[in-house]
Amino acid sequence: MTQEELAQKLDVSRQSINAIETGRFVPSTVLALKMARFFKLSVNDLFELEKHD
Amino acid sequence: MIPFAFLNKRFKWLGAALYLAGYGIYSYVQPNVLSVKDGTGLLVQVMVLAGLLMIICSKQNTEDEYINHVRLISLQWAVLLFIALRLWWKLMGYVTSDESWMPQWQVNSMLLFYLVFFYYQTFFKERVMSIIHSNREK
Repeated sequence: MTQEELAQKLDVSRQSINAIETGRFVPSTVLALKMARFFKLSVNDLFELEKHD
Repeated sequence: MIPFAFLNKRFKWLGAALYLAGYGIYSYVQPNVLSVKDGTGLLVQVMVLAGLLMIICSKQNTEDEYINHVRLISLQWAVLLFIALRLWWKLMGYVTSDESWMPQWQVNSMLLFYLVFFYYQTFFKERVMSIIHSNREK
């Protein structure tokens, strides 16, 4: 699946997906939950805390 | 709350046309843009400012939280750079006792800085980061 396709499914911009994927942007809880629901995973499976968090 | 981007995305092109037309008139006629009595100068100022505002306030193809985040960051950087440059020119004017160093930076410089930061973050940097990220995965 391309970033563009995922962005369309989640109703966000492709730039958002790219920024999240490359670690430049931390999504809001709502977007994180939407992503988790889309991939049929839990939020913890998709995101994890960094060492400095 | 008034949304930051409240104009249709087509206004971006209208704004760019207005800005370029204003800049074209300025280059051709060379009016005194600092005088309120010079009608052409005033027209140029209005065209340039209105054009930049239209570009800034027009929506992107998809409006979301990341775009709003980038808007905020760009605005912060633009204001900081604008103030830093003004202070620098003032300092140079004071040190050299030369009035030509004194800042002539108008608010449209800040709007231009904002646009440069915004489009750098949303288009240029995004492409560069995407290439770096895909190379790391290989």
